[in-house]
Amino acid sequence: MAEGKSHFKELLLVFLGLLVLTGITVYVAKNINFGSLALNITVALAIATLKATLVALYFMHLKWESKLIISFAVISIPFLILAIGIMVWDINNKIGLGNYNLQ
Amino acid sequence: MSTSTVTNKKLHDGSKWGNPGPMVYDMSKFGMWLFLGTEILLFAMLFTGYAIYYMKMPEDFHNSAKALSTTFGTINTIILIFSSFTVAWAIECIKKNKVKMMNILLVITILCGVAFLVNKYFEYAHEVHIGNLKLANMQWLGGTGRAVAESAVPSMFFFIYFVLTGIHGLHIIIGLGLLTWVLVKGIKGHFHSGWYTPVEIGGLYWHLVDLIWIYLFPLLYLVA
Amino acid sequence: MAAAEHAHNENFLSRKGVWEWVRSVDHKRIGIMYLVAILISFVIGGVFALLLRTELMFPGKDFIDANTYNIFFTMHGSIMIFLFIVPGIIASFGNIFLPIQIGAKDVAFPVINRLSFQLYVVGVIIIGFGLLSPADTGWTFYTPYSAKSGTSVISLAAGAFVLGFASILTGLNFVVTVHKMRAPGMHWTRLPLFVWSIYSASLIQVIATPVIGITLLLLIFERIFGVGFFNPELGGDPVLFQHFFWFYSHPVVYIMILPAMGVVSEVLPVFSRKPIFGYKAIAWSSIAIAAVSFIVWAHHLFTSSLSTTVAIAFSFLTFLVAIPTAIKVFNWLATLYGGQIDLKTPMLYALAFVFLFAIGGLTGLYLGAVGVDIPLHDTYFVVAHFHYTIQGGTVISLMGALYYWWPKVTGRMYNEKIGVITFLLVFIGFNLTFIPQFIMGISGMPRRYFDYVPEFANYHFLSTIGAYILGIGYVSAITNIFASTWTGKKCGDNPWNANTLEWKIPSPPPEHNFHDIPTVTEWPYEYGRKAG
Repeated sequence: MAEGKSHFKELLLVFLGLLVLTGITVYVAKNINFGSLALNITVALAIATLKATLVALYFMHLKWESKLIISFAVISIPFLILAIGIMVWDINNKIGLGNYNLQ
Repeated sequence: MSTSTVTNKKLHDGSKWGNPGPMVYDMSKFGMWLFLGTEILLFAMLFTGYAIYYMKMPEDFHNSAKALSTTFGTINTIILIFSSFTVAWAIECIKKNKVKMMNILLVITILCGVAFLVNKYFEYAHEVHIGNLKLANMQWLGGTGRAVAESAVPSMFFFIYFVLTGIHGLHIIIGLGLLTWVLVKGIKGHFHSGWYTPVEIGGLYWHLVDLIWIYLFPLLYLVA
Repeated sequence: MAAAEHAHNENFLSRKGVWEWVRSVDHKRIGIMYLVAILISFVIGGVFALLLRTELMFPGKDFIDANTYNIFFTMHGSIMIFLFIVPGIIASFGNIFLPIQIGAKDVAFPVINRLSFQLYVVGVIIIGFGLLSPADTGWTFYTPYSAKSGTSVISLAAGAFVLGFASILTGLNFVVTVHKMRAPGMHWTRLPLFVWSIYSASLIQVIATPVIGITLLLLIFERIFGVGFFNPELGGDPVLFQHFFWFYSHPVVYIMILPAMGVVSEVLPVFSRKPIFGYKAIAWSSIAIAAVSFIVWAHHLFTSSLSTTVAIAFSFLTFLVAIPTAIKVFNWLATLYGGQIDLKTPMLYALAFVFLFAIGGLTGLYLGAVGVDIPLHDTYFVVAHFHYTIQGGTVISLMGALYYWWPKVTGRMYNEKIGVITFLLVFIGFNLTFIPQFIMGISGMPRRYFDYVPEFANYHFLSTIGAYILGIGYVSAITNIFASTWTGKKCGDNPWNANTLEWKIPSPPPEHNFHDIPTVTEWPYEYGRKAG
C-alpha cells in the first residue's frame, strides 16, 4: 500500500500554486471588471475549479488512484450539473410567469 | 507490505473481520470517496439554490456581498489551504514511518482548523453587529413556522451565506473530531508505513472541507 | 479455528439473548432486525390505511374528522415510505443475502452496517416524538404549507433526515461490498441478478439521499429561524422545494422497485427450472433504470407551474424508463416460456408481481404524458398507479422473498396450503382495492379528500372491502411464514433446488457464512440443463 515514492515536492508546489491562485482570484475580483456580473463570477468559478482540481489530484491523491476510485470520485459531478442545469433552465424559462411577487 | 521493519510487539496491521490490512485500506478509501460524493451532492443543492436566486436577483447578491469582509474570507482560505497541505504532508510522513513528524503535522492541521473557527466566530460576531443577520431574516421561531420579515428588505443572499458557512463550519467541527481521533491513535503508535488507513481517511475528509470552501469563497465573498 | 468441529451445529442464531442481537455486527442478524422493524412499520402503516378506507367507506363524516384524516394519511404515507419501503428489501434481504450470494463472509464495513440500523432506530424514535402533535402535511412536506402548519413537521423531517443517513450507509456498504468482496471467480457476469439489482439501487441511495437530507434541513431551518428559502413572502420559491424534493423522491421509487425486480429474477428461473432468459439484458437494465431515474423527476411538477419546454422534455424522458422496465418484463416472460412451472407460494408472488407491476408501469405512461397528466394529476388514478407499482410491485415481491428465503434463514418450511390461500386473499384484495380507484380517478375523484360526491359511493365501498381482505391476507401471510420458524418441518439446506450460493451452505447459515471462501466456476442459472 505504500507507494514508496515521496510526493512531497509535488505537494509543496501545489500548495504554492494554490496560494498564487487565491491571490489572483482576489486581485481579479477587486480590480478587473469583465463587463458583466455573470462574466466576473464565471472567471472566479473557473479559478476555483482549477484550485479544486489541484486539491483533488494531488492532495487527495486522485492522480495516483485506480480507475475505479477515480470514476466513483467524480460520480457526483454529473448529478450536480444536472440539478443546477435543469432547475436553472426551468426557472429561467418562466421568469415573468413564475415570479411570486406578492407585493 | 512487509512486516519485518516493524519492531513493535503489538502489531497493528489493520486486519478486520478476516480481511487483511491492505484490503481494508482499499475498501475504506473507496467507501470514503463514495461518502465524499454524497457530501458534494449535499452542498450541490445549496449551490443550485444559490444559482437560481442569483439569476432571479443578481443585484441583491452583488450589493449584499459588499457587506462581507474579503479580508476575513481570504485569511480563512489561506488557513484552510495550508491545513490541507499539512495533512497531505502528514500522510507522506507516515508512509516513510516518520510517526513523530506525522503527529506534529496533524497538530498543526488541527490548530489551523481551530483558527478557522475562531476567525469565523469573529466574522459572525461582526455580521451580527452590522445587521447582516437581520437581513437574512434569521429569528428564533422555535419550530412554529410563520415567518415575518424582520427587516424591510430581507436578503436571500445572507440566508444562503449563513446556511452555507454554517453547514461548512459543522463539517469543520466533524473533521476536527476525526483528526483528533487519528492524532490520539498516532500518539499511541498505531500507525506505521504498513497501516495508516485512518490517517488517509481523515485526510480525505479534511480535503473535502477545503474543497467546498474553495467554491464558497468566490461565491460568497467575491461576487461583490 | 477451535470451534471447527461444532461447525455444522452452530449457526448464526445459536447465541441467544437480546444483547447478542443489539451488539451483533453480523449482516444476517442486522438484516433480520431490519426485516422485523420494517414489517412492524408495514403493519402500523397498514392500520392507518384501513382507518382511512373505513372513513371513506360511505360519503360524509363517519368517525374521524377532516383534520384527523389529514393526519392519518400523513402517517400512512410517511410510515410506509420512510420506515417501511425505502429500507425495504435492500436493508432486510439485501443485508441477509447479498454477502452470501457473492461469496463473502460479511459486508465491507460491518460496524457501519450496525450503525445504519442504529440510525434507523434513532430516526424512528424522532418520528415517534412527533406523534404528540402529528404532522398533517402529507409525506411530501410541500412548502409553503409545511413551513406554516402548526403541527410537528420538524420531528417528521428530522426523523426522515436521520433515516436518510441510515439509507446512505447501507447503500455505501453494498456498493463497496459488491466491488471489493466478491469470491474468486465471481465475475460481474456471474453475479446473481438480485445482487445486480441491489447494487443499482444502492448507487441511487448513495447519490440521491443527500439531496433530501439538505432539503429537509432547509425546511427545518425555515421553521426554526424563519428564513425564506422556500417562502414566497420573503423572496423564496416554493416550487424549488418540489424540484429538490423530487430530485430525491423520484429516484427513490427505483430504490424501492429495483430490489423487488431482483427477487423476481431469482424466483422465476428456480420455479420454472429454466436458465434465466437474457441475463445481461436484465442486469444492464437495472443499471439503466438507475441512470434514467435521475432525469425524470420534474414529471411530478407538471401542474406546478413548470415551464412548458421543460415539461415537454421531461415527458419524453419519462417514457425512457419504460424501455429498461419492458426489457425486464419480456425477459421474465421468455424465462417462463417452455419451463416446468411449479406454482409454489414464492412463484405465485413472483407471477403476481409481473402482472401487477405491468399494470402499474403502463398506467405510469399515462401519467408521464404531460397532456394526460394535467386532468389526472392528484386524482385517485395517481393513487392507484402508485400502489400498483409500489404495493403490487415491492410489497408483493417482499412477500415472495419472505416465502422464498425464510426457509433458508430458519431451516424450516412454512405451510404451503396456508401460503397459497393467503396469497389468493392478497391478490384478490389488492385488485378489489385499487381497480375501483383507477375508475374513480378517471372520473375525477381527487386524492387526499376526506369526503366525496355520492356518485363515487359504490367504488369507495368496494375499495374499502378490498382493503379489508388485503389486510387480512397480509397479516395471515406474514403470520404463516413467521410461525414456520417454530412449527415448520425441517426442510434441509436447499428445498427449492436453487443454484445461488446461499443454498449451498447449511440452513440456518453458519456465523461466517462460508467455512472456506468458495471459488465460483459458473453462473447460477443452469437450471434444467443438468441432472438435479
